[in-house]
Amino acid sequence: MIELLSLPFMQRALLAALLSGLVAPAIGMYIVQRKLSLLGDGLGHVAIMGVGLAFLTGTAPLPTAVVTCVVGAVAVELLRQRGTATGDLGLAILFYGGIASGVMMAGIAGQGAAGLSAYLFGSLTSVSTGDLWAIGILGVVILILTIGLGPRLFAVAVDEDYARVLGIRVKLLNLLIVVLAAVTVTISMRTVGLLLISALMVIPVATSQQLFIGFKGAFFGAMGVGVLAALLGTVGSFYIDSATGATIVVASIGLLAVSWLVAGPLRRRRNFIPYVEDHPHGAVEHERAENHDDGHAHEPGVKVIQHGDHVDYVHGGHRHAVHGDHYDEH
Amino acid sequence: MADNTPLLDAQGLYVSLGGLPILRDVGLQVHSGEAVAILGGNGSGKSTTLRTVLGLIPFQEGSVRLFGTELANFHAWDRVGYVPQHSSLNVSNATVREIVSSGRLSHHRVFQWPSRQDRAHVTHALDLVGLTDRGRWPFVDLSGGQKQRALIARALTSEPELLIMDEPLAGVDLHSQAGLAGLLGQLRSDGLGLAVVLHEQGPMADVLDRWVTLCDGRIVTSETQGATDCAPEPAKTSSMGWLDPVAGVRR
Repeated sequence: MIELLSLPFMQRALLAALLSGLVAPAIGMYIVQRKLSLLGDGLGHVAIMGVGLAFLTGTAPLPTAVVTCVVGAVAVELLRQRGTATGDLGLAILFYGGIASGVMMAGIAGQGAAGLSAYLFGSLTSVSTGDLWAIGILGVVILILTIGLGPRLFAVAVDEDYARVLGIRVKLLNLLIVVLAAVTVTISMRTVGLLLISALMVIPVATSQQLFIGFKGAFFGAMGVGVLAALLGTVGSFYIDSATGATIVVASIGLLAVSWLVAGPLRRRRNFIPYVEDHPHGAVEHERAENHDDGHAHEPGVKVIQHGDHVDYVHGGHRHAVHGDHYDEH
Repeated sequence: MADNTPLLDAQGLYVSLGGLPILRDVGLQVHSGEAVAILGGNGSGKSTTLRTVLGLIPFQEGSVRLFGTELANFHAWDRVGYVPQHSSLNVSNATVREIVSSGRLSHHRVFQWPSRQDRAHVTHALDLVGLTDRGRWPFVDLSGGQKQRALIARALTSEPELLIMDEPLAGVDLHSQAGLAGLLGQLRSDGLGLAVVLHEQGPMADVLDRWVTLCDGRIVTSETQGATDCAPEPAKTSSMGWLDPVAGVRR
């Protein structure tokens, strides 16, 4: 680990990967909440056009790809807001047009598939100091916006109509989310790669939602999971000599599997409801439950469910309902 | 603001969606300390009326003024509370408190996070609707009635002067319905203006001052008494129409 960190290219690689791991889940949280999990993938396709364009014009790939992808993202959101069948078709044309024209332009520029693959799957060890600065600055901007505007972005993701009645500029914030997603995708093209970055926007979020209750908890949890996956993937790829981007994604899937193993039994216990057939109140022979007041129903771990004309409390694996001054055991 | 300026003043609203007329010449006034019910069957245009006066649906004709200001120029959204039908909510694992605290956003500047004062408002609103100890629960784990109460709390956290509610008591158990009706009555006496879509008057009857009944996108009654039945067709022909050969041909 120490000798690994003494190599300058590994230091840059690790920093770039950690930034991707931190930033991608932050914007991914809003993408997932709005059920747009595949958006990142489509934006990755559009960014390939930017890389091809950079090859063709001889400009720096990162700024060209950022600009192309942001323009593409604005087009995506405007098509999506129209919400029609032609809008859906328009998205498909944009995504495949992006990848096809990118590959074509790269070919004309004499770079071919080999030159592109460093951007499709990442090429972490070739990250330059200039790249690192650009990634760092854009990453900080994304973090400031996703955290600072957090309460508003959350309100828009939960209930657009209500957000409008709060006076929030919903269309503008929706546009901001896809633009930030586009920037995230492009700054991660050297670390995880354009075809895989979408995974780092979505999988740490899914992992964190298994482990934490609440949006805020899941938000910061997802960033932690993303950083951990980036660290494991980068270090792991150095030792087993594998592609870094792919290793980061596999590591994040591994963390998701672990979170399932940890959270599964917890969740099952929390959601267990003993089955009771529907019955009119008082018609079924019942025993008196131990006498306790309503207060315990508000403790965590006690589930309250509507059962026909009355309310049942579920706790400790049994289920009972209020009947006058006492509780009926179901 | 002059005391007699209505909080909500909608006049002659015509709304059509996809070429179909949804509202025809609908008006709605709500004053401070007044509770107005909007009644009517499914598809009569109740929800559309509420969504139109909030600017969520564009109208083709008519005018909407909130607190005396044209809707297009209105920005004081912290004075308005809205309780939508809960089916439209998109939450994965947000807690009840998180959902309710978004109601405070209309008081916030753009980059502002909730303060201690905001948290106190949220706690108070949860107390009012009887969800004190549900704050840290995931919203999705609440029963239908509790979700509805949480949405009412979300609207109340902003301390609105005008509260607009779409079937707020749907799915709420009878005991809580009475409690919420009492709460709304109390707030109305304190000067809150209420516009509420209801399927039936139920326990709200004591709170309401006026009833507006919609039928097929038109107002059929606007009185201080209960609703009348909605006729499927407005009775334009004479009662002897079936004897009139000309009318028969026309039909």
